[in-house]
Amino acid sequence: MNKLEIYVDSNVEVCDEKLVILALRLGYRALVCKQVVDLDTSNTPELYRKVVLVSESVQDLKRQISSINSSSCFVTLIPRSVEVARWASHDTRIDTIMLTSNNIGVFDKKQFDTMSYYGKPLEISLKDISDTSLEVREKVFRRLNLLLRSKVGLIVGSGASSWNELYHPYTMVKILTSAFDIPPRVALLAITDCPRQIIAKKTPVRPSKQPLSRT
Amino acid sequence: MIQLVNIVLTVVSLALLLAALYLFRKAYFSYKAIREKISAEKRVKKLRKRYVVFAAVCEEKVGHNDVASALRDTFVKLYGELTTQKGSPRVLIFDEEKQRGIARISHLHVDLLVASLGFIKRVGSTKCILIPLKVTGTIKKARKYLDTLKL
Repeated sequence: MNKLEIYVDSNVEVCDEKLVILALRLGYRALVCKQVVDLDTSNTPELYRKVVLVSESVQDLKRQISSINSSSCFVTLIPRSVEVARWASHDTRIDTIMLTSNNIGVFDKKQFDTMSYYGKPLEISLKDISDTSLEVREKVFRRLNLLLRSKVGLIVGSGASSWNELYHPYTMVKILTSAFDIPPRVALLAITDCPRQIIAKKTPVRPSKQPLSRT
Repeated sequence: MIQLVNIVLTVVSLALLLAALYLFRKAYFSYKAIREKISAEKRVKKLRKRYVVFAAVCEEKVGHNDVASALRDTFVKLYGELTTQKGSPRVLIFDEEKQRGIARISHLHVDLLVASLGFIKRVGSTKCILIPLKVTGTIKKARKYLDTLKL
């Protein structure tokens, strides 16, 4: 299968049975979930565990990250200060740095340059961004344009906590292109190859019948 | 002698005038050609229609009017009244048995319609998502896909 057809939703709050079945119908091959509920069905996408760290100081982040097995979890950081964001950019245990409506100020040109230098992707959640005010969305739009110029990898997740908050991959690409002026190819990479490269190194909580290619 | 100089100067000035007129005419026509070329590129000859076949996955079965109003409300909220007026999105057909439908929009606004389908989380008071299946150029083909496409 072409690597641009392996759709991954990298940010799901709770993976319950209904959500997982619908995700499979929508064409997702892997889901990264914060919480996995016991599933009866055997035909599911590959499920990976996600750990979200929120930190305001480097000391606190070091303490939090020491207790996590980063080889089995998809580790995402929400930095609350510039120094945490800078430090996290070069730490290999952290997979992505997340932009939310509360920490937009952390992401400036230097931060994106650092992330570009160390190859650290930026993650956004569509639910978090679409639920905020217009003012915040304007700021996100400008940050994403800056990100594209800095050539930082982008990962987009739905942030779904129930089945009706999932997006069809095609719809997700169209939302990113129409709302944030992201080129279609970058938008497609944000839900396919960029997250796949990260989860390829991780151990799934629940492997699927058709495993992802590890190359 | 003075008369000869006068005649020569008159001839030279006439020649310069003719050359200037010729150059002006040439420049004017090339400017006009370029302007027409640019405006022709910008101008869309005819607004063509596109038909989006979509499926509704809902808790309970939903009706045509609910889906149409949900789609229209979302489109207006996201892209404003002006774009809605230009694109004129409509739900033409909604099969309540199969929970599938066909929406129509102008070819310039197809991407916006598909994006706004993604933002619909509820139809009426029912939890629901609308999934785009296929974009076609004729309603005949859209009807064909309405029955045959699998989700």
